[in-house]
Amino acid sequence: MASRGQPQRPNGSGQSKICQFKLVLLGESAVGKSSLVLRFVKGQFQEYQESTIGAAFLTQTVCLDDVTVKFEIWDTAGQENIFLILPSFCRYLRYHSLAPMYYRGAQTAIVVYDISNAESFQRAKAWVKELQRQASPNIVIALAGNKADLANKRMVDADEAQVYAEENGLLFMETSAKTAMNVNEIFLAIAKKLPKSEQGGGGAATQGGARVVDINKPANNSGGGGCCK
Amino acid sequence: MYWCFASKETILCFFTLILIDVSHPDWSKINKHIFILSEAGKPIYSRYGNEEKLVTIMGVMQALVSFVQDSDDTLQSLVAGNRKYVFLVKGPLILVAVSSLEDSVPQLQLQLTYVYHQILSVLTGAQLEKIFEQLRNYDLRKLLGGTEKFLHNLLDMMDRDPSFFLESVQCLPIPVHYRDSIASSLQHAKTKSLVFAILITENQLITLVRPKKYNLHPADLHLIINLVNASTSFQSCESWLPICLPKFNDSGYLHAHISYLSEECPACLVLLSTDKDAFYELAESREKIIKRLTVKSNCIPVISEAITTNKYGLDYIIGSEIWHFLYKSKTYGQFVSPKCRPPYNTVEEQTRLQELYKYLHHRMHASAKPLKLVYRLRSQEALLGWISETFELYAVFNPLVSKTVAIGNVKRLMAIIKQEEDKLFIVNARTF
Repeated sequence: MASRGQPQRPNGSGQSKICQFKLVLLGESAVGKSSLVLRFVKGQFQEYQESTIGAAFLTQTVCLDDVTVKFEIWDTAGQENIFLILPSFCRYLRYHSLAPMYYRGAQTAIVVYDISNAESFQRAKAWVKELQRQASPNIVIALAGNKADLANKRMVDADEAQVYAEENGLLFMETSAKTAMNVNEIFLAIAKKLPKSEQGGGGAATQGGARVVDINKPANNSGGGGCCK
Repeated sequence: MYWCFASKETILCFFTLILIDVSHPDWSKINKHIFILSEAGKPIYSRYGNEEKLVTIMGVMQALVSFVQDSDDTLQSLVAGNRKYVFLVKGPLILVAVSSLEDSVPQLQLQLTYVYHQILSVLTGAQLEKIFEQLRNYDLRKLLGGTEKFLHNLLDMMDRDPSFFLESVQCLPIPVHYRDSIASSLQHAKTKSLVFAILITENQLITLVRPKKYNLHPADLHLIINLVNASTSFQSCESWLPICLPKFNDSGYLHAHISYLSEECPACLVLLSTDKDAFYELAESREKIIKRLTVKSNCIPVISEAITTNKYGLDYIIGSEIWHFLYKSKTYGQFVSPKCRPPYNTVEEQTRLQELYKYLHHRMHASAKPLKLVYRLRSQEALLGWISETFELYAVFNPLVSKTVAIGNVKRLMAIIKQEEDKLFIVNARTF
């Protein structure tokens, strides 16, 4: 998969490194999770975005001053969708057993709601709770109030969401996948907040998460590159 | 056994209920309804209209089925007016088709079986049984939420695409050495948990690699093709989802890694694994496959071209005498058919053509009197059906053509198919 924003290799000092993080998007169906990801990864927007089937995987990199952050993004189907409900079926599963598989090992999550849909905000809160209970303890959570372009249909007060986010230690932004408002910004804010220490966090690493790659060493994926011969 | 009802009132009542405009403006004009309900009579799905508003009809259907069950029998079908009513009871579900089209009763039963399999592909048979064991009155729509489009798409495909009643798949015509090198690329990407590697485009199979011990049943393959076809959401990313293939194993899931070869190439790669955590492993396999296809063999442009132009297909045979045909190789379990040309260039005409084929297929396979050769002259075309040990052929001719000319055409067609066999079909089955 061609990643844009190819990390530049500074001459000499081995400061530059790539940190890889698993990011998961959660939230009610139709709040715009896939649209946010497509805007961030491909710079595209479609008025009619088909609902996600299962989970979709995409990657994108963000360059900070001294590190390149590579996001492995898991865009999940809205929780109403059966594809999230994996074999461990039990009758209570509708909402609770929601396949931790997608957020297991995730270092960061964006919980999305739709500012024109009050219920989606309640769902987002439930997601945050679920993550705080089940996901890895150091997870960085961002709350995105999407569809900010629909200001005239607003049902969720921005201040209220801001206060909630502060109380729970979340990053918060109102975004619009349609106008691109705050889309790159929210990912960038996450990239800045993520710990970029060398060891990359013990437990989660096995899940294909926090891997720190020294860019000066030949990387395992030799496909790209080709910038300096 | 086919059931005949003594009580005309029951049928009439049922019939009227079906025709009442419940929630759809053209309710009575619809030529094929499909309904799914639970054994308790709860609505699960209706092809048209809102199943919520169909509670009464579903109640009647459930009553009909259980009435017959009470006398230790099974209600399979009824005919009233020009409509056929076909019933299929599978596990805890009742499936009903109401059709005024050419589809025969066995063909409709097959379609209902497909619909049932589509539901299993989402839930697995084991879970479906368990849900209704625990909660007889469960509203299954809660669990199927978001998957209706797969049912819709499947039903539309079954009306258009002969692969379902032929119970076989169509391959993308492509020179054999390309197909071989594509298959080798898939073989090379074998990992521990990979079971099937499949490359498809729209409704055609490009190649398939399977374990020595297992076959992939066409019915399972159709479900995969339907999954890929029904959604555009696979196009821009790599997707990962559980799917149950009922013929392979109806009690558990396989896990599918789905991605397109590139943004320009409409070929979709499906890798099926037994391990729910194998995503990264399969993503790596995909990388390897694409690298091999690009670097080693330059196959991707060939695939794209074969798809967009049907360059290696048999379209050139279609002319003023032979208008269209379906040829199924029994040896390979695959069929070939040309693109539709005039007079079959409108949706209505294509549907009518499918109806002709269904009629012909049914005539030849009717259990009471199966036939080997049929030639029928109709007002708009002449039909020919021919079944041998190794093939089934269904062809449509200009009605002004004489029988001798038609047979001459068929002979030529057979010779060409024989000659181009390795381009039209997957002749070397590959295994891991």
